[in-house]
Amino acid sequence: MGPDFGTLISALSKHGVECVIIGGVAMAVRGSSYTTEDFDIAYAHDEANIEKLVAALKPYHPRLRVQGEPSGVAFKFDARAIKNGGNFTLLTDAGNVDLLAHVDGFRDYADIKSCAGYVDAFGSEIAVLSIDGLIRAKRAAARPKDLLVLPELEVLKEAQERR
Amino acid sequence: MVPEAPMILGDTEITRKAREFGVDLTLTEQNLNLSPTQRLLKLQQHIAGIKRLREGVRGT
Repeated sequence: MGPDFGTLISALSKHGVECVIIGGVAMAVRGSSYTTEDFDIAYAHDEANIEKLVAALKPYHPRLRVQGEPSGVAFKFDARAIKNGGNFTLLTDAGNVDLLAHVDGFRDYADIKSCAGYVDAFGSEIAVLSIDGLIRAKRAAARPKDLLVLPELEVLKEAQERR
Repeated sequence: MVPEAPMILGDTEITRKAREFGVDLTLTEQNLNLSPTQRLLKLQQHIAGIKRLREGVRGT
C-alpha cells in the first residue's frame, strides 16, 4: 500500500500535535519533484505532545520499519516508548512515518519550528519546514542523497525570492 | 478574484547550474503551479505508479 499523506496530516492536525513536516514530503510541499515515500516529522519531545502524537498515530498501527521485514516489527507504541527514544522509523497503515526528536543542523525543536511555516494541505493547517530550513538540514546531513537535492532547492529558493 | 500568474523559472545562473546537474526543472515548474495538496497527491500517484511498475517487473 502506498502512503496516504492526507490521512497522516489530518490525524496530526486533529490531535493538535506540535510537529513540523520535514524531509522529502516537505520538499514536495515546497514544489520539489523529488520522490519519497517517507513522511518525516520533527516533533516536540515533551510529555503532553508525545501523548497527542501517540493518540494521532496509534489508529494506524505503527510497527518498527526493519529491512527484510516487509510488514514491520510489532512493538508497544505508547508514550513511554516514544519518551524513552527519540527518532523512530515506522511503518503504519497510512505509509512510512519517521518520527524525529533530533534533526541534523538544528539545536532543538524550537529551532526547527522557527524555520517552518504553516501550509494548508488536505484541509488542515500543518507546519512545514521552509526552503531555507530544508537547505540547512540537507547541508548538515551532507550524505550523497542530501547533496543531490540541493541544486533544485536553490532554484526553489530563488523562485520564492522572485515572487 | 484574479488568478495567480503561472510561476515561470527564469534563466539564471542557479537554474542553469541545476539543469547542468541534471534536474528536470519542467517538473519543478509544474509543481509550482499546483497547491500543496495537489503536489502531495501527485507524489502519491507517482509512488503508486512506481509500485505497479515494480510489481509488473516481478510478475514477468
